[in-house]
Amino acid sequence: MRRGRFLHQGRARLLAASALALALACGACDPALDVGSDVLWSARFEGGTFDEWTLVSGGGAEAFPVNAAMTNRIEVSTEQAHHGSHAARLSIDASSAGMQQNALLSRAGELPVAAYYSAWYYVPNRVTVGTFWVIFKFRQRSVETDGATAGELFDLDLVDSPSGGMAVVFYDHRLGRNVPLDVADAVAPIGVWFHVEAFYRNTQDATGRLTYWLDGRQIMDLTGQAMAPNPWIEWDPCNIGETLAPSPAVLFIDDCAVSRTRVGPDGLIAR
Amino acid sequence: MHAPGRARREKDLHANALYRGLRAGGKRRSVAPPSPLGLRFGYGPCVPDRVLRSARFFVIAALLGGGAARAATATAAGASEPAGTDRLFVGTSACPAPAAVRAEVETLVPHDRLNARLRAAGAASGSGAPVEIIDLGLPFRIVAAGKAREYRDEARDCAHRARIAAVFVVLVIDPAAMLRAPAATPPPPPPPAPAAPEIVIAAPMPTPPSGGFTRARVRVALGAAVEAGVGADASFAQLGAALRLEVGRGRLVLALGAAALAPIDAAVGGVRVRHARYPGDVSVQARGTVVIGARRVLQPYAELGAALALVQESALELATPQQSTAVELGARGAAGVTLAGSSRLALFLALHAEWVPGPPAISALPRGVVGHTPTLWLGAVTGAVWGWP
Repeated sequence: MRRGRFLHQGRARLLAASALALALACGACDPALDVGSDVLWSARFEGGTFDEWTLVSGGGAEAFPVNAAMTNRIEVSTEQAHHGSHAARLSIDASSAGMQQNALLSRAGELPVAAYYSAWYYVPNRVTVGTFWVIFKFRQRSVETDGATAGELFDLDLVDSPSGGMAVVFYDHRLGRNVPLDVADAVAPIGVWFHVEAFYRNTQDATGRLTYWLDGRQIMDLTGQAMAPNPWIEWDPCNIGETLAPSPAVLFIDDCAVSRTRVGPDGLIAR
Repeated sequence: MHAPGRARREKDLHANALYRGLRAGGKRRSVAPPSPLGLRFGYGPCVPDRVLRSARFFVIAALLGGGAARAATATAAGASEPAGTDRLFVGTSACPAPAAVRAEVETLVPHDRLNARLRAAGAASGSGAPVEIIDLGLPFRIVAAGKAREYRDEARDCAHRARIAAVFVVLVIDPAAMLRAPAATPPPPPPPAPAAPEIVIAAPMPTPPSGGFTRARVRVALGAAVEAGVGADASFAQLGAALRLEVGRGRLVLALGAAALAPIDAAVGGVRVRHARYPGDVSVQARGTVVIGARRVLQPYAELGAALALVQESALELATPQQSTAVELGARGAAGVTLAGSSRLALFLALHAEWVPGPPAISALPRGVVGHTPTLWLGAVTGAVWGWP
């Protein structure tokens, strides 16, 4: 009986030691608990198509005007990518003065009154801007249900910068002019992916707000004023320009998202 | 655990060391047959065996620890409560006189607690005076706290009768309870060292109540649980119920536990989540026993083992909430105490700690990992435990 008791205690000790070792060994597994997402929509182009844009209501991907030489083009490319292996390549031939060229991705309608809009950009070469070069745009409608009343609202442009990069400027179509940013040295780099994000609360009273970040740094905060005349919103990551050199002017766009919370340069828009 | 033969011998007071001591004093005592009243002589079943054992232990403790006060106490008691006015020791007996019995009792137990204990015992039994001595000629009868015994002494040695009566009184009034009670008055200054005691009682160490919970091979505990997680990113506090199974009778037993804790809403790295956790463990338990009285034992114990918990988190305010489950593994230590009596049911209180070296990461888009569940969990469980042989 005594021998049996010792055996029992020995087994108990062995069991405890084994369980403890197993627990400590597996305890370092650091399993993940995914509790959900505030990202309302995202596009990463990893499928090699623009389906993430074109298959949603109000979404689109287009380049115009269209000509025989197809100098304005959008395509999914593997030439550059922020994450994964694909990105959108937008190119326009804006060498002719007085002629606006367009290549854009768009989400219109069915967007929340307040949201964060973000995208990654890659400018492979320095571009000399003669008239304007828009990369990030919000549009409006004067009549919410009438597409024919659509018009421009806020643009984020790139212009030549003496520092060597492309300086970011803000154009308010309501005022018909550039509005100075809150910082003086908002410069987008050449040959490096950079992140542009905006918080847009499209209210028709003093609670309206528009805030921009460049690579996580806030560069402008427009508050205390009404925004569009109605809740309709169009957001366009784009390559729209006039009088640009060299031509074509090429821009890569990747990892676009609409989110309820800020994405930032370190954020994840998909798993 | 006592052998059965030893337990039987201890019930026979005439065979134990008390009477051997008296015989050694030079006066031979005869053991008489049962009295004409039909009462059994000696200490019968009305005084439980464990009471006798404990009483002897505490009588010895009183003799050794408080014996220094005996002479002065007895003298003071005799001065303050003369026999004629003593309401606690009454009776018409002249051999032994109630006062002589009191004097003998006061040599065995602390005088400052004696009267209060006598009154309590008398009140509990519903009898009048706690102690009554009746001289029936060759026999004499002692009634203490409602319990009566007769002894026959053909020699009519009154001092010897007083000692026998005193031992009976002390055992009936439960000296263990008396020693536990606070003293009514400060102890007197230490007198000169007493003479060697006339009575030598072999006092065995107290033993836990036999049978019931303490001899259970399988124990099942159910209790209320509270658990708190402490971490850099999040802290949780939950209430629930805990179930525990312990298998074994030795000093080391196997313990399996599980708990169901009510979910709680909390913030992890700024993301509000509903947190649910269902911990379990496999442990080895080391258990000891501390006797705290004739009917109670404390069983302190410590446990070491592996902890496993099912953790569920779901976001409360994200645009697309999702419930996610992970398993936590870690080490667990616990310490507790069980208060057991002679029944199969006992009460317990336990504190435990769990260390999770790799707590699950909680992630939410677009922020990614917003934090981890706590590394350290502290908890307490209290409830009842049932034992089966």
